[in-house]
Amino acid sequence: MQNLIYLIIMVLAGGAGWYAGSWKGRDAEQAVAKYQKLGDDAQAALQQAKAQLQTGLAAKDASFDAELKKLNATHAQQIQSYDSKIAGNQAEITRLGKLGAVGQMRIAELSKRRDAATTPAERKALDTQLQAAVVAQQVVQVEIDGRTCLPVPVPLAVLADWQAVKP
Amino acid sequence: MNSRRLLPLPLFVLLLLLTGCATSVKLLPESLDCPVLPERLATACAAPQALPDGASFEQLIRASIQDRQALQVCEKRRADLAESVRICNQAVANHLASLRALNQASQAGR
Repeated sequence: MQNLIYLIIMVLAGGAGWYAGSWKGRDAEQAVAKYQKLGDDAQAALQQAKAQLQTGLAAKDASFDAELKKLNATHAQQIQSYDSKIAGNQAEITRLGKLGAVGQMRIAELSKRRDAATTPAERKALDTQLQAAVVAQQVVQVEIDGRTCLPVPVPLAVLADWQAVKP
Repeated sequence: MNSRRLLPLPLFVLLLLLTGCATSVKLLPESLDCPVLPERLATACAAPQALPDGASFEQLIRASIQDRQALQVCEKRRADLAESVRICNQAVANHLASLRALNQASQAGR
């Protein structure tokens, strides 16, 4: 009889231990499930962030490529324009020379007419025309001088400063 | 002899079944990287034009035009990389905010 009581107590104690243990295990299971869900949510958030980032960078890349292409085209056009000006430099100098000669003649004529002016008003009007003609002539002369210099070698001392900026 | 050979089989089946009881926990997700194309990172600015002694003013002006153009392209590439970093920083900040929100929601659920 005593052994039976011991046996019952042992079974009850075992049952109680198992029950308590199962509660502890349940807490652990819930914690694991919770962290698993957190991990899944974090993974989903990461995938979403990656997708958004890829989209943002792809849009930026496309815009950059288009702008760079446009810029390169503009640059090619600029060099082409410069080269055509250089190619036609001598012809332009000749044209400007003729224009300068006409300008000189006009200045001489205006000076003559101004000196022969009979009224102050006529003299003033001719003075104004003369000043405009002189300014126009200066512009032509500057253009001729500059274009004449284009094929001239840069002085070595000046070029040395430019060459001093090494890559 | 045969029974000895067969003994491991039930044990193997038992072990196989036990694996079903194992709890698998996923590893931490990888972090968000900044996927800038390597060729964009490797692109360098063009070197300044070189001119030999005896170069004309015409060549000097041409070289200057080319250097100015190269500078424009270089700046555009720099701005592009800066924009990439800005976009990445924004994405990382947004991602961290979403992770913090998840953590807060998880803490609140306790």
